[in-house]
Amino acid sequence: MSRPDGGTVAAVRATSTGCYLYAVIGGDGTGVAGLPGIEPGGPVDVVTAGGIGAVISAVDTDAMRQGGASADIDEDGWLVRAARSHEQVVLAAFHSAPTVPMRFGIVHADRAAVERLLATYGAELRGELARLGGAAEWNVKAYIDRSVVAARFGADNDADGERPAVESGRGYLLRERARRDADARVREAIAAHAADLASQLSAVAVDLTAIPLGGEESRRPVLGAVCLVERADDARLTGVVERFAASASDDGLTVELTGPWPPYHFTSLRLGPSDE
Amino acid sequence: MQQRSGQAPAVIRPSGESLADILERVLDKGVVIAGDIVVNVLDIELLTLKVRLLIASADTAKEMGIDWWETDPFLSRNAADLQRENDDLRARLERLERMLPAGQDGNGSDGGGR
Repeated sequence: MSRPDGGTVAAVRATSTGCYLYAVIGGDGTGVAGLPGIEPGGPVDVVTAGGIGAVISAVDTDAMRQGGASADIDEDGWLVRAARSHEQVVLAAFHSAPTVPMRFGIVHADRAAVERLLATYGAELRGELARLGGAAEWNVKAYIDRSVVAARFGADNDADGERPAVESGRGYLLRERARRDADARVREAIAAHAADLASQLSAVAVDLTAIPLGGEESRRPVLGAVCLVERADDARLTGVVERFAASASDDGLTVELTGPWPPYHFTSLRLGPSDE
Repeated sequence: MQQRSGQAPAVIRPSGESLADILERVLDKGVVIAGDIVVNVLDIELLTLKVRLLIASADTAKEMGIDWWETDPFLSRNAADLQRENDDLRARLERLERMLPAGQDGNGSDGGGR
């Protein structure tokens, strides 16, 4: 097997190459086989057994170990690129078949070891694929638009708010109390919208997790949820989120929706010797 | 983002995904396998790795409200300095209190705020 980096390894030592596992799918992998895998390593392949497939690629295990320990942790470093590759492969698999995503970083000894995995845990994996049924994950976040919020709740606590050059102590305290009261109204409104979002989403979602965020500054989300939705309900989901966005915009919230993604947040499967 | 006049504002559908979202998904979620594995990258330096990746995409992470490292004394120089300063002040306060005549060591509060 040739090495992509053209390294001068006279013979490929068995211990230097491993079999990276991206996901398990309910299909034969058409549409994902042949895509580039994590580097240094080979292209994506699929090994099937008992009606399910394991999405794999050959990887340089020394590079995997070094990448995990490396001080070179930046957005152009090996590890971030490897994580992006992992995500891209899992997404491609998801576009072609029901997919159970693996967590990043799992390398088996070789293809045979992955085949053993499929044989040993076939029942659990088939069960998980059936449970998820190809459903997708969607992520909803809402951000505050400060200028709208300030007008709506009277929370004009910005530096450019009216502040007299000479202010009495009482004036200061009254202004502070007004600001706190306005902040409290904002928080209550956000909490009400978070509850409303959860309620609206649960009408269409199979499963739902609210994300506690609580950031009250402009660029941070103030509320969020991730939900699992059957593919047939994609349009209903976007409709629900659009209606929520309309009701939340009056209170200065802007809503962001991403998806459909593989159901990362909704797989809780742990496979391995039960020694925990 | 589409704006249609007279209608409800559209939901924003970003085309790209933030690095923080991608990392949170693949590093923290998904099926975990133990046992017949030769390498698990995340086991090599699990906590340190996640921390360093978050720091690498710190701006994005901060936008998500993830910024706990800024007050973590192990990770943040500012926080570590404050911690040291607090420790120094506390030690000095204790020494001064011991020098006071008996019965005059103030209100007895220990260590004040944090």
